[in-house]
Amino acid sequence: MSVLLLMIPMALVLGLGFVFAFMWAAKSEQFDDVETPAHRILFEDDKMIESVDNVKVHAKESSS
Amino acid sequence: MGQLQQNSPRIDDSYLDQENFKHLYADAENPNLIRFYVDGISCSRCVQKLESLPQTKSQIRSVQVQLGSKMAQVEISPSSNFATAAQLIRDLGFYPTPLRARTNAEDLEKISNRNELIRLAVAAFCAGNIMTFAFGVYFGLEGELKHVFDWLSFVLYLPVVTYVAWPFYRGAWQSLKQRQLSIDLPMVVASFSGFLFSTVNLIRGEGSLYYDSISGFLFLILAARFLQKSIQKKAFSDSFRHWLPLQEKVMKLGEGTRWTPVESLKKGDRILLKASEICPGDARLESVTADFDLSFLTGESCPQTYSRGMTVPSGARALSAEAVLQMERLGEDTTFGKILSEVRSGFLKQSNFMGLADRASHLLILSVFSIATVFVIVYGFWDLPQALERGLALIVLACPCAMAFGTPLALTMGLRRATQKGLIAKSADVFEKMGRIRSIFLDKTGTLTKSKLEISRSVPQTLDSDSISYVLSLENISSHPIAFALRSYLGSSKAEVRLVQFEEHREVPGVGVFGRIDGISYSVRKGLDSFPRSVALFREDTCVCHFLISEDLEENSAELIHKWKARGLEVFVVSGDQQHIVDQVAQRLGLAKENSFGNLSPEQKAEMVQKKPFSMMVGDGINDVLAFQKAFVSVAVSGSIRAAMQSASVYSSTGALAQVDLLFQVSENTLKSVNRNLWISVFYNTVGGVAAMLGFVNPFVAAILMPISSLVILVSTVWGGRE
Repeated sequence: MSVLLLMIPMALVLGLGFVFAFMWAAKSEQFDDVETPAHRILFEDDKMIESVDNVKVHAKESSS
Repeated sequence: MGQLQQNSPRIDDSYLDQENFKHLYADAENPNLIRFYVDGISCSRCVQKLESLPQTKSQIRSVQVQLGSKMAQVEISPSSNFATAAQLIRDLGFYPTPLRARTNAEDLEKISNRNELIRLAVAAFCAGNIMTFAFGVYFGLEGELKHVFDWLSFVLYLPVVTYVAWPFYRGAWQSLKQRQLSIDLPMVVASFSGFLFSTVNLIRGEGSLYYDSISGFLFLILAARFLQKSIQKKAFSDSFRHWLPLQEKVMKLGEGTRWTPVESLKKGDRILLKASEICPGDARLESVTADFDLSFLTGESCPQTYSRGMTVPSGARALSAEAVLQMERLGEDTTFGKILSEVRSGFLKQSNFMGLADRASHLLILSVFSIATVFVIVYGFWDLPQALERGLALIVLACPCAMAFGTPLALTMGLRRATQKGLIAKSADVFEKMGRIRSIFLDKTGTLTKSKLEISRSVPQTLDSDSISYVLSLENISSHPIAFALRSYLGSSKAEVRLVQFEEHREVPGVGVFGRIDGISYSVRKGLDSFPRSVALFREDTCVCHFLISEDLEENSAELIHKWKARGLEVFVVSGDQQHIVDQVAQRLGLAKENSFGNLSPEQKAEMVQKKPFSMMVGDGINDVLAFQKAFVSVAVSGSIRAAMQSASVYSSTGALAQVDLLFQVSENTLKSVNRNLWISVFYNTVGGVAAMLGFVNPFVAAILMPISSLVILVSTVWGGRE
């Protein structure tokens, strides 16, 4: 019973935290474009290849 | 798609850095920021190429792409210029067009969208948590903990009654001011009186608390409305400015011939119009002769020849290589200018169409209010506390929440289905309007007939490769619609074509193309009279072969028109083309001569449409815009100017007449769905209302019934609408 006195406020605070996080994300324009960010994860990272191979690789512009 | 080219064709972008253009395109807050519409973007790879430009080119500081609208926001480094940015984008294989700087209206809209999202998040948080506590109580929680939970529900309801319910308060107030009932009104009454009575009960320590049910349905309705709005907007997401057919710049002659924004042209300015540019105002032709395409104004793509001194109308598209003109009238003083401004303002106009769903909800609101009031008064004489209790249950339960939720949902599903079939509707009231249509007006060119000039066949049917190569070589210098038609017709023949060099190779506007080889002159010009509506290749004066120009009707047109006539609709053909040609088309479609109208100007078309009530106008091209605005429902058929979409109720992406028939079907199905939902909510309200008055309803019952009714409506909409 006394546990509830701790858990309920914690749950509410946690929930409120998420609401504020959502508000921050919305205000910083993160929800304005929901399509393009999904494509950004598909970007190839040429710089990564360069460091792994330890060889000078020119920034590749491969044809599609 | 997009190969690295170091030397792309030289296109002059330097005008972007001229003062007069910078003030149009550069962002108001950041002078190094410019937005482009980038044609050619189609996938993640394209986005990556553009967004990683800053990594390899120091002239560009950042690029941010929006895939949905194909917009790229580019920030240049202060030492560079916009022309370089445009050229770098071109080098990647894309086609950038500058976009106007962000307007205040766009910014405000973005902010209001964000606020709506935030409101939904708060509503969900409050409703969810209130329900968690309420269910603890429903399942038998008692004593001090129950007391704590109830007060927690109260605290969580405070943001609901103030912030979340705000759009309903605003909507109810506005409709009251206009002396109209709207569905916001009972929502306001329910949420506010629910709050009031529940709080009184809370303080008393006994009686029902309805915080959970009310916050739950407020959230559901906000979510349904948000969904409807975002689906409607998604179809119209591109920035419409890039669709306006008038280009933004034109070459002005004078001291320092240079590019000038169209809007800064004045009467008396002399301009040089290049091929396929659009004349920005009524202008007097100074060149000896020039060809123009007037399809924006008349819908007909047959080129017109103008000679020196004649006035070329605003909206005419130049076909000759270069034409010098002097501006006489600009902007809204010209026909085209008037049409463009109607397009702009029509887009923002709100429709005040009162649909069936709205009127049904008015009825329900009135009945619920009156029944509740009468009940409380009558029963109150007997047992006041019980009367208030049952009255509250009645209002919460019988509040037309199911209706408020069900109608937007059905309409949204309808919109989605229409979009899947290629029909993009501007708003959902088109469905109900379609049910009331009594007459259909069809534009001829581009709607009934294919919009481009096409060659149907050649005479003789098979041509030798010499003839083909001569025709193609002669037409190589021409951008006349007939040249395009010949190129696409002959390009489709399998023979290998080699282009031939002619001497004295020239295009004579209004006549044809001429050239000479080994002393023999060849030409492609109007065919012999025995082949009306044709062009022919001539060797000296002998005809080698003919190409017949077709005006092909879209397939199935006649069947569809027959189907519509069978439903009792009147069908008319209206066109700017000559009467006898329109009559031929009407005849092939099975329409009577009285139903075919030719030689109509855009204003005359609009007049005809206005005379018939409940008319539907199907057309394309900006010349139908005036008629669109007078019609009850208007359908813009693609193949021509997409700007027509801004004033039409529906845009058909494939352009086939069959889509108009599809529109009828989708509308019928959607209306059936709306009807079904209305009946379900009437049933639910009746049963629930009676139960409330008899005292069978308490918060627990309400908390169960409400999601059940919403679920039933959801299922009925999604499942019942399947074809």
